[in-house]
Amino acid sequence: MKLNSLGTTVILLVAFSPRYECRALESPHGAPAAPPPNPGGPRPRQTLPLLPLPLLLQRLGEEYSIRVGGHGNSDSFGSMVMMEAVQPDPQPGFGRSNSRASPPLRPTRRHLSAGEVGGDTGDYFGTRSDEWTERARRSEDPPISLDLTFHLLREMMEMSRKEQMVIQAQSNRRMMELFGK
Amino acid sequence: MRVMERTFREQLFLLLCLSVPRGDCRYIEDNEVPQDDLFSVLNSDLKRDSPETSMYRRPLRCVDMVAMEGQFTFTAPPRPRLACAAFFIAEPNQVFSLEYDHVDIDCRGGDFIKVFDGWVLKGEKFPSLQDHALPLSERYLDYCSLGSRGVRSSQNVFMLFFRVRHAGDGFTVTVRQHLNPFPCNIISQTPGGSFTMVVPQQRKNCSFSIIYPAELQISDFSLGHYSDTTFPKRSVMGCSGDFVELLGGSGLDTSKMSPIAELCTSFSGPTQMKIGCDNTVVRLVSSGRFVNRLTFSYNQLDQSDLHRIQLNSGDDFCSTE
Repeated sequence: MKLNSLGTTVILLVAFSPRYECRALESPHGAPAAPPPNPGGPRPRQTLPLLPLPLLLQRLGEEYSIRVGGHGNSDSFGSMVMMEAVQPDPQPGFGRSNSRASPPLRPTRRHLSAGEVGGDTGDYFGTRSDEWTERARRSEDPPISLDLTFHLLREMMEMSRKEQMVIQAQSNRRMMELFGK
Repeated sequence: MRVMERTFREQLFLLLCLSVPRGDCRYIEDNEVPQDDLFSVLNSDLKRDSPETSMYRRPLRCVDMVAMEGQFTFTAPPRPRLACAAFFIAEPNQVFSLEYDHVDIDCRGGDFIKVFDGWVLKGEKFPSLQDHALPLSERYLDYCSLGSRGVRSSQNVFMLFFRVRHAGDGFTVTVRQHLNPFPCNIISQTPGGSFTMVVPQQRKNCSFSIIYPAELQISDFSLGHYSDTTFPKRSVMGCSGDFVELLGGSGLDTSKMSPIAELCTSFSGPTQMKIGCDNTVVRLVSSGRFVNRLTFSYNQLDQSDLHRIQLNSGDDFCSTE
């Protein structure tokens, strides 16, 4: 009887004894440890420096402008035109909506000089006129367009393809390092 | 005594069963396993890799072209900026979805972020107004009006227009690509390639746009049944019902382009045409009665061919041969 009680007690002690936490594989000596999670968001794993845009950016001032309005033709490069405005209905996705046209705005033109073209694409636009700023603030979601030559568009497409190939090559190399050896 | 032995054996058996390590608590020690060995695939780094942590990330430029999925962040630089635009283009059989991860802009101050379902260039839209299911106003999706709701494109291209005036403000978007089983309106990423367009009994017009002067070879056009095996008719009088149009022009809008040829009947066998226009479009018009299938290949015209064609044409319209 005592032996049975003793055996039962031993069994219960073994069954409910604390166990070590299951451990994942730890990094062996010399291998880089995993970086801690970034509290501000996912850590960047595949980041690349931006592909250079040397000659392309210098020519942007000659070849494109942003058109806010989307109607009519820009008679010269580097001009900004605002035309009529359309108010989209607040519906999710590209779905149904009701639109109403606001009164058309008088076009405001600004021609950009070559001196305003810089190394950064944002420098191309330079300083805007106060009148355009005021109208932009008062506009109700105008349809907008980009004036860009096909030549520049093709160069941008080619650069994006090269970027895609670089990323794909990096991904392939990483996979080979993991599984190929 | 025999009962006691039996009870003891049962208890011992129970003890052994409870002491066996459970599978989910097993771990691999790599004391002797080399780092480069196959077991390295069970590395904790790889185990913790998730789609979010392995996603491609980079800053978004004021004028940019993106051909891949990933997370893109625009931050307004110190100097004042006007509006910006980013083109997104995927493979022909893919569409995009866009999600706003973080937005810090001054909507009341005039900042905006708009997503356009398609591309718009010099006021010309692709797909054209006639070829897209939605009216123009519904193709512009404004963040300031609609909030951070996800967006999905109707074709392999879309654009992002944005203006962020205050330095340091900006936004982050995650763009993903999804398979589109029946792509309709497509802009080719490359100056050369091949494609098969299928319209499964739907009443719609689908365009394949090649933003280069190109040589086209249409190898197969079927209206769901083999109705005519004679040589294809290049008609200038116009076809009706289901047919293929070859268009050329200098803009994106297919409705403003000039028809170069129309193929009215089914055929199998290559027909070739060289189109010396900035934009070459193959357009399949479908009535919805058939499962239409069109297969073609294209290559960019080299300079000598283009020059010769332009010399021979001699008019303002972009030349063809």
